[in-house]
Amino acid sequence: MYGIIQADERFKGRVKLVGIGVGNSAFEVGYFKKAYNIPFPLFPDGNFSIHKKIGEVRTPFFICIRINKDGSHEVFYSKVGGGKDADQLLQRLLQDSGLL
Amino acid sequence: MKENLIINPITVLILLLSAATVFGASEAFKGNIYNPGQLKPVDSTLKVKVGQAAPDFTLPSVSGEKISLSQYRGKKHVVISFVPAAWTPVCSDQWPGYNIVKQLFAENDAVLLGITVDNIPTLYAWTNQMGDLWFPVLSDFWPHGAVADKYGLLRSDGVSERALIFIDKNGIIQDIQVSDINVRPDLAQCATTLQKMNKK
Repeated sequence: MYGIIQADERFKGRVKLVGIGVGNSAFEVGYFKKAYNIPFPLFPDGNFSIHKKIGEVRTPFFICIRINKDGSHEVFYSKVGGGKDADQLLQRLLQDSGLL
Repeated sequence: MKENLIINPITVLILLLSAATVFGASEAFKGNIYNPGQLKPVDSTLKVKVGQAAPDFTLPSVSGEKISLSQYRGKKHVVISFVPAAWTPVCSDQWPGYNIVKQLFAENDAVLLGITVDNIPTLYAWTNQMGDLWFPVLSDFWPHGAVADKYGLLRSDGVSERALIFIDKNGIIQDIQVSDINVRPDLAQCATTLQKMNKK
């Protein structure tokens, strides 16, 4: 998913992907990032504070936010599951975002 | 930055994931996790201490073979992970996390043994939900909790504590980490202890 975004000039720099490790410490997130060569930012949520604010959802969970021209933002996708086909999911998210 | 936003609206995709653990919160375990609520953090008295020989044991594993602690003597350091019970939130988070740090065990010439007081069929079904665990999962079901009891880790309700026992190649206990049963131990502490044990 990250690779597709970076490889396409229409999306590179305009679509940002970040991950939040629910219940994971900084060490765990760092180790995971290194072990699996994760190229995008990952943040620890060791005390589940973000997870609780979002509603203690199950993982993996995607939240997609559009930042508008006036600086306001809106959530346009919020759903559990990564989908069986990451490319297909990304296409859908990009379409919903208005970038496609 | 503000100008950039005006020219180029940005989309942010936030992925909440279980980096090392939190399988209990994952979709894979949906509807199958029993939450026992908050429990007394520790409910047993240790019968072993750092510096003594680790009591030997032989237990059946999910894969079908019997595993003895003594078979690793002179070959590998051993970390025993006692977890209280299958199909509970914290335990379902803890073991999949060790898959991420498999290399850490290899680098420090150590093996991991996972033990619960559940029976083999229960452990089989539970660990199947975790994918491929690389370490042996042993059943201390019968005589019930005998190994946990030998180490002083059997709680009054019949489950074990959440504990890590670090045993060197000579069979000597190098560290004992009994955690609050309600909290998953941070992998950082395990990593630090492993490295320390291997440097001795």
